[in-house]
Amino acid sequence: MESSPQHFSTTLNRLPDMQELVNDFVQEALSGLERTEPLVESLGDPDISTIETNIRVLFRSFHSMKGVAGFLQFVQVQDLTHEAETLFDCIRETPKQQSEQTLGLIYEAFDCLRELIREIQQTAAGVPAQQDYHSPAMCEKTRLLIERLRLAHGVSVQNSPRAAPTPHSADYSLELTYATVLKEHALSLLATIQSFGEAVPPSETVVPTVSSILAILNNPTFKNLVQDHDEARTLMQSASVFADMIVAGDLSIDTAVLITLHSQVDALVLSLESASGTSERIGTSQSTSPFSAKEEFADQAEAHHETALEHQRNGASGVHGTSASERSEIRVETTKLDRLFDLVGELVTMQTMAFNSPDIIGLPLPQFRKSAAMIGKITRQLQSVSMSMRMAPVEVLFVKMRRVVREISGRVGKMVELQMNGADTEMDKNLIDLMFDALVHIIRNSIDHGIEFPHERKERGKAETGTITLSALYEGNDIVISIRDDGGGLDRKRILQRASERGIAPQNTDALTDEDVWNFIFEPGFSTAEVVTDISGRGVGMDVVRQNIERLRGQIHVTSRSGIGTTVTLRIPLTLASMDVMLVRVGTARYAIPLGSVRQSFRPRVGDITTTMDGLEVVRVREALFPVLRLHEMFNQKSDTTDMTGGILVIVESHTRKACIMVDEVLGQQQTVIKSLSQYIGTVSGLSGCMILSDGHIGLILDTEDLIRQAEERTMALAA
Amino acid sequence: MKSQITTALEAFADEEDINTLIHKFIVFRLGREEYALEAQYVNEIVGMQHITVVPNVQHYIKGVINLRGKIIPVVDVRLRFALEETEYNDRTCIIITQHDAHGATGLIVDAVVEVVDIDDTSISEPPKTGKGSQSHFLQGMAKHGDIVRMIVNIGSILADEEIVLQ
Repeated sequence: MESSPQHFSTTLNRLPDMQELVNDFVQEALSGLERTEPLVESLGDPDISTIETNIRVLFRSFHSMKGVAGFLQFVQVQDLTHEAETLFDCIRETPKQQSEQTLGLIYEAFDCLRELIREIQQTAAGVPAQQDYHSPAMCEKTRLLIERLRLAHGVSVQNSPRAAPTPHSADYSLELTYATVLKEHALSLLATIQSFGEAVPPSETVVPTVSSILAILNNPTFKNLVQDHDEARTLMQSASVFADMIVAGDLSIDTAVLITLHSQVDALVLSLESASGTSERIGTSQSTSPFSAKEEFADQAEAHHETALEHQRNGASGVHGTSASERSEIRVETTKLDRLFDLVGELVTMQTMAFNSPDIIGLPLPQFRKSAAMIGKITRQLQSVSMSMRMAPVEVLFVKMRRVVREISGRVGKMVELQMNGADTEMDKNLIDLMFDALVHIIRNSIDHGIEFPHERKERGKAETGTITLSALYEGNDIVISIRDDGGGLDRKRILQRASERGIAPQNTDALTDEDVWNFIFEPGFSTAEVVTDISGRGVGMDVVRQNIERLRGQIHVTSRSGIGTTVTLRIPLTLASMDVMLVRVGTARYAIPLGSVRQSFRPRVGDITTTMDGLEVVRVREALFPVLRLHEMFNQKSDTTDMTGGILVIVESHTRKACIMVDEVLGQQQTVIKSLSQYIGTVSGLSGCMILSDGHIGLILDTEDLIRQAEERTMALAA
Repeated sequence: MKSQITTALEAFADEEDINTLIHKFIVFRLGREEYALEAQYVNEIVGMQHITVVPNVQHYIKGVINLRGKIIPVVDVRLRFALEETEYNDRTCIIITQHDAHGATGLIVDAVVEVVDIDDTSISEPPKTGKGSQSHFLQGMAKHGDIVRMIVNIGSILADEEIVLQ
């Protein structure tokens, strides 16, 4: 019997669903880390109750990760989570404001765990059931971190006046949690098997639950428990018999075995309950009817859930809402959501097609029109719901910046406070993830170059602590995120000097507006930092940020006032999935121009057009001159007219550069779902994708930035 | 329980047969010649559709079609094989294929003739010295009575090797 836990883990390697278990673990662990990391910041909060609430969440999260990692034999993860958990436990026992060092250490643990799990993910994808998931370097890194964590909780135990906690009360409450989870699994297993009646349930329905049960039984805490509990020992015995049956492939499980298992779990819960002296009511009797027990469990889960919510509401100033209710959430792969969104988009298109079908044009059909209008309404609702499912508050992004601000300001020796406005503004979850790097970069720049050192600030009559304000708000179909600092502002002279050194500034710099000057910071390789620090100043900064923002079809702007501060504004569409476009026609082809880049459309008069001797066409609009792109020539498409005065010119703009696109006709505006031109075709010069038009044909979406670039290149080639 | 296993085993054995001995092929026609394409790559066959021309791509990529909301690129196999281009008519078909490296693509052919089983043993090597450079599109020749069908290699039809050559 002593060797049984070992026995489980070795036999389980032979389970066919090992791969799936590992995948589940990876997903679960990564999302757990993601969810709980923002809580770490609050441990540095002077408010004890906040610490108490959040440390519990952290502890639970790490504890369950440790359990599964132990079961799957990810020793590194198990050890690391164990040490982190011990540290959390110390904090939980004697909650007090945690030092910067401790927070840093905890963050390191998060980072290290993430790396370990990514390694597992990569290895697992290639080689099944491999033992060496981690590189030696990673193992060493983990080992060092574990040492430091040990030191840390050693210290905090010694320092704590109320040391020597009563280990039993803590342990029992944990074991109780285990036992209740175990009970849940046993019940669901029982229900699964019973639902198949006489038939043999397929292995994939049973194995995950069995694995979860074994994961708990194999957990170190639970193993300790086994040693001094008769109930647990009996449970262990029957579970081992049960596991052997499953492993041996005998799935014709006798329900009686399960009922025994279930009642044994019940007994264990009871016994633990009395041992820990808790007044919580968990499973009153050895219920032989599993379904009544199930209801009980549900009640109890409800209660737990309520408590958890209560905790979240009470504490966690600034972090509540990130991990809303655990029970009302369901994790769905984003690809599924994307597929749903696509399908709804198709539904909308097909509906327009059906209702505008030439077959019914001119027919009165009052009843049909009524139903059609209803269907139209429902589809629109469906579309907005499917859109909202992809939305998440930007708070998840903002909260992560606390850590960034704290770390960077600490490293450069400045004092910076982070403020947030409009954190509940929602945007596409995919976009939020893509925005992270850009935000980190801008904040780094703000702290490194913007905010002054405390003594400088004092001299200038400012508060010693600088402020960075993150705000988010909606504007039309865009979300506007701004990062404002109250630092020294951009230095016009230095930027111009740097720009002329790099040969990107014109001769007469006096004529440049401030905005023109600020735009130099987005040039590749531009950096005014005199000393290259490890934080910023390597000159691979803002140009990459701008590229990334533009890839999201967004725009970036800088405003700055000397001595008062700098504001970087990011304007991003709410979602990447749909976009407003202007539909134009050239001959029989229809193209879509992103509405965000359209400035104006007009029919030119003869006097407006100038053709240079190189054949370059330029059109004058008020005082400005724009190069003309004949779409029919670029795309080799037969058009109605080649005479410019017979067509329409659309002025498009992409970061301050403008050009005119010549088309036959402007058809109107609409919102559309963007599709790629297929994997096979890939990217095509001048196009960013395609869309399905209301008649079922395909319209091509123009890549205005690329078109403007092509126009400019042609101008340059002709000039040369 | 027994019966379940037996059925599973039988199904497995059937599959084994297909994999080792006989393959299913879609036979299509370009002009007078018949070509065969392994059915495992074929999703479906549709009639001619409205094609949206995509500019600045290889000449044999005619454009994209909207197949029930999916954007599918279409390749004119005549152009790909450097044969004479013909007008599309009501016998013209698009074979929708699925390939690991290239995703879903449509092949425009003069007509689809039939679906046949071809025995491995009746397939011989393609001619080594074909006319021009077109024979690399073939992966074998299948004799069936008097007819010889050219078995095409979907991978090389879709591969963009012109870029490498240029």
